[in-house]
Amino acid sequence: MSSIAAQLILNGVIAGAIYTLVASGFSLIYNVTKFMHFAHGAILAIGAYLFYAFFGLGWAVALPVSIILTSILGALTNFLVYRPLRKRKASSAVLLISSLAAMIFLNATLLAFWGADVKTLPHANPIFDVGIASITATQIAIVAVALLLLLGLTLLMKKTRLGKAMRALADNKDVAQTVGINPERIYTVAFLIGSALAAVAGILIGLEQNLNPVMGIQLVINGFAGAVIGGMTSVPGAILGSLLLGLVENIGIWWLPSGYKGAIAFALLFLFLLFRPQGILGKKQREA
Amino acid sequence: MKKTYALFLTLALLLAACSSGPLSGTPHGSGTLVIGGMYPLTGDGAAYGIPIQHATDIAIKELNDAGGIGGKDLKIVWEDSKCDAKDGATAAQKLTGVDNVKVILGGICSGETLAAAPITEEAGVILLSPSSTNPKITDAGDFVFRTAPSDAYGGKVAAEYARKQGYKTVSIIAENSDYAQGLRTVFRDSFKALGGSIANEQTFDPDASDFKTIVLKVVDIYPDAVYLAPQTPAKGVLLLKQLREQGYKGPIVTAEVLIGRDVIKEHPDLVEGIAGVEVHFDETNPKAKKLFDEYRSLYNEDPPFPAYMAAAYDNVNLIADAIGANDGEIDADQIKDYLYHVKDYDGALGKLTFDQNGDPILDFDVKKVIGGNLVVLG
Repeated sequence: MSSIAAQLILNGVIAGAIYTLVASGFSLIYNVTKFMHFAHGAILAIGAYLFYAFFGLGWAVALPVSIILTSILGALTNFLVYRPLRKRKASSAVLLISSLAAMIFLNATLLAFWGADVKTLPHANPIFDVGIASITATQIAIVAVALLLLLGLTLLMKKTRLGKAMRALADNKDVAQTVGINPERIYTVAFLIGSALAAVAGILIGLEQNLNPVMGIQLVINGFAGAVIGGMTSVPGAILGSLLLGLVENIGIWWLPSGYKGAIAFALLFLFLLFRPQGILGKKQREA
Repeated sequence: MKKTYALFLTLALLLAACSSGPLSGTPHGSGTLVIGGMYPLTGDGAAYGIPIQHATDIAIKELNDAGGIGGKDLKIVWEDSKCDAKDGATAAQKLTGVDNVKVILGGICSGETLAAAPITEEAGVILLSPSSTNPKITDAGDFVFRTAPSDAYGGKVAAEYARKQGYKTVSIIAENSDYAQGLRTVFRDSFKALGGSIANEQTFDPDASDFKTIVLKVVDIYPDAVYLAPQTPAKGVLLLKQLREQGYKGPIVTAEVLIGRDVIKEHPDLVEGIAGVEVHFDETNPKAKKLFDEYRSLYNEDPPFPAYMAAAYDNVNLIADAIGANDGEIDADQIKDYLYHVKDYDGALGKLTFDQNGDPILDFDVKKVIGGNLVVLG
């Protein structure tokens, strides 16, 4: 039984790490631009498909090429879809709807190019049995990358000039501009980094769960839930929230029927919205 | 200026509406006969929908090349029902309400068919499925037919096989869809009736892709065998992979999804040793052979779901025969009566007869993957 408990917790951590991969880029972009970029899910799927497309050339080529191309595509989405809307002083609601439209458009593009059938990335994936639980090489990579993201993004936001500029912009756009921060430039950088993270997420999730054109939709919903639980205003918070979500979901269905998995996730989200709307690490929003 | 523009726009819209009328409606007295088709053409369910659509198209082309029905070509208006009840209902609404068809081929997944049935029944439109196997379809309506046998038998055959192997306890993992849940109930009830016991039953949502803890609950009990009922190969493969990764090495019994020819070809090691239940079907009969040869030459692959594809091929010909018997006029009531009187129709699927519920009278085979090949156990 103890080995089952260990495996159960490990499964929760792996699920949480997957949500983390999605939530990190999503919440980074949200933090800077202050709107929900749901097309992040489609960008993630494109990252996975680009990796699939270049897979034949070996990892050393496929990995950087797909990440760089996805990163550029994310910035391009910002440039072509969101920037013109911002110029017209569109509200966050308009940007949110346009992100849904962008998501549908990008998903349909994937469908047109690669078709609807599921693609697999054949790779050696040894199972490591550590006595009380077993984990595959891909799953180790997922958890490791999630932890690196937690560390890296915390450092980025707190220690670097760029992170400080991002936070300043998020805090008060007008004041940030008066001290010489160019919002559009920072937005572009946020989309470049966030979309590169989406590509990493898409590739790892593609290796673990295979590829389909709409793979990003459910992921971005779970990543969003994780981000809200952890605190939308804090990137490390979003990562912690995602881990918590994965753990609670998996441990929850140990006792509850497995069909309740989605219900558990949203019950947790609901509880947080009721009792701690700012999330685990988020700061209380001041009334505007 | 603005007024002129608005007027122009209204006129343009009117013109568009008029000109599209004859295209979308049933063309009376023209050179084509239009029927509807609703298959899953995108998403995980497209793994069935697309090959079955190809088989349907082959039948249509053969028919039209041979002169059509009394000189008129048969044409299908396609809708994507996405292996989903909601989209199945939308597709049926569109085909009956906008395109005014009197016959719809489909759906493929049971959920689509069950959601479409009340709509087509109300409209008095024939719904003819090549592959929906949920037991509830038997009573779904007078105009509802299928050329795939009900899982009321398929699930029972699997349970009988499992008991014959000496399995006393079985866990069930089933997708939350009409097809898979139908199988789950039939298998559970039959297995219990035969003296076996069900260790636990797990259900997962169609959009899930992490099954680790679900399968861990099965590994924890470690039953004699596991019965898997996924709706699509995509989820089935992922489920089976995670079941093995989490440490279950015991026997697997399933329905037809995981013994699909594509699945065996792409994941031979993963599906090795699993036993599935599929409709009894002689793939070497002349009509089936001709269909599959044509399919191979057109699409460069072996037919992934031969029985369903043969059924879809037969469905086109059955409908064409019915329309032909009515001097080339499409009349749903006449087609309904015609289908109920079909007896020992010699099709690609074999000899076909419908019972009083519009279900075909067909048998099932248990097949096992041995050395990467599918072997019939009888």
